[in-house]
Amino acid sequence: MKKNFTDSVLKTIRAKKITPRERSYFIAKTVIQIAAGIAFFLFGMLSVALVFHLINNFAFAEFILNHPQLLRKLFWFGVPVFWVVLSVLLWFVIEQIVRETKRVYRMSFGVIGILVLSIQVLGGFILEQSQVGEQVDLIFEQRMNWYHGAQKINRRLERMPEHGFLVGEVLKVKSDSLIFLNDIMNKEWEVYLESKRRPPFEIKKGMKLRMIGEMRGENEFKAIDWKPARDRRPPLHKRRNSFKKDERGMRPPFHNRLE
Amino acid sequence: MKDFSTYSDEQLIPLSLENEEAFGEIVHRYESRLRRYVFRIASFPEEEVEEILQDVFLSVWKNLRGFDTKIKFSSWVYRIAHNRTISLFRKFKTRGRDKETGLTPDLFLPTTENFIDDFDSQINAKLIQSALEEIPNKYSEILILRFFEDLSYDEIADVLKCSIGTVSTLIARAKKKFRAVIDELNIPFSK
Repeated sequence: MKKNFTDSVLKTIRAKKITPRERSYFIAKTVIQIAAGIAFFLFGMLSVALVFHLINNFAFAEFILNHPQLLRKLFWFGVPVFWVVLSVLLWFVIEQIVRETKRVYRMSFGVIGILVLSIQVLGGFILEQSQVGEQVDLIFEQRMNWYHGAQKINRRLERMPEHGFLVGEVLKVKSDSLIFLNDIMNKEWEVYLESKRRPPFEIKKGMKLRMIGEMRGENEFKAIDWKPARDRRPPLHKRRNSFKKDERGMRPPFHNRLE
Repeated sequence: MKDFSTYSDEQLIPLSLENEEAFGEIVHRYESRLRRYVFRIASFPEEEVEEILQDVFLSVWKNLRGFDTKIKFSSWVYRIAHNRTISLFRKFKTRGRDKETGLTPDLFLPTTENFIDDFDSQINAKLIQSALEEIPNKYSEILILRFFEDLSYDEIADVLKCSIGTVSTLIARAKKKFRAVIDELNIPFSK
């Protein structure tokens, strides 16, 4: 029986002309898997850098302080969903690499998971230190409608100092702890800087700042943390449309053109 | 025809790429072990086991150049057999227990002293088989690999693609479950 079975396997191999796969097939497979792994690692780190950037720029603080009911909404829009998706994909890719090419399956799942996340978070932190997070934020805001829409919620808050958020341009630096600021609604504010941990930059006249804190009076604000604010430009697709409109020139309304 | 029976598995791999007869020796060497293993974990009818084994050896043949020499060849072959059997099992959603199978009770006679230490040697193979059928598949599979196929923890980790820690945890849990089933079925048990 044993001999019969062996013969039948060899017979099938010969009859169907089955040949062992070439070594290049396995090398290519490994290279593709590792490249996919590296790509997903990079995307993951970029996403983490973006999340760090958003946190650094109070993207969540005001929601936590004043709008806990919107936190869930912010989570889905503010924290890039793709990070979660990519992490799942990354996990899949690593699983594939582990299963098909290496013996990393000997490590426990938890250890692999912690390693993957640590590398992503550490890489993301380093990228954020090199301003990469800000660049990603800018690109997303210019090119992605959904991201731009999500940021709108943030911008709405920039007009609500009563909710502990103030954005504007420095008019005058009176002392280390007092500045005068013109907000985006063109209202002048006396801002008291009351943080023991000073952000690592010097406030100068003309600088744009984003601050969180507390409104004390009609024109007084107590800032507990502040960051330089970036000029937020409209998304690229909107700028393109407006450019086209300008190119065409102003046309009379349709009913006027009929007359 | 050359006699390859004195060659080790690792020596046979490169030889197989040049001479199909060498691969025939691999098939000959593993056929009965794998046949028993597939029967033990899936209890499929004879023809299906035959088909699975054909598939397994064809897959071994096709992927011979991709074999990772860091693991034992036997672990790799067992892994392929395990995966094929499990995927077929998932396809049929049954392990063929209600079908006419080629099972014989002696297939469930443990091969290691360990198992006999843990579970009374008086329990006959048929009862072991029915107890194994009562516990979840992941536990019966690992008990079969450890105590019936006589694989080491290292080899089981390579077959199931998991850590050695996971293997020992699974074995400990599987023993516990097995013990509980034995108690439930009132199988005479000395410890």
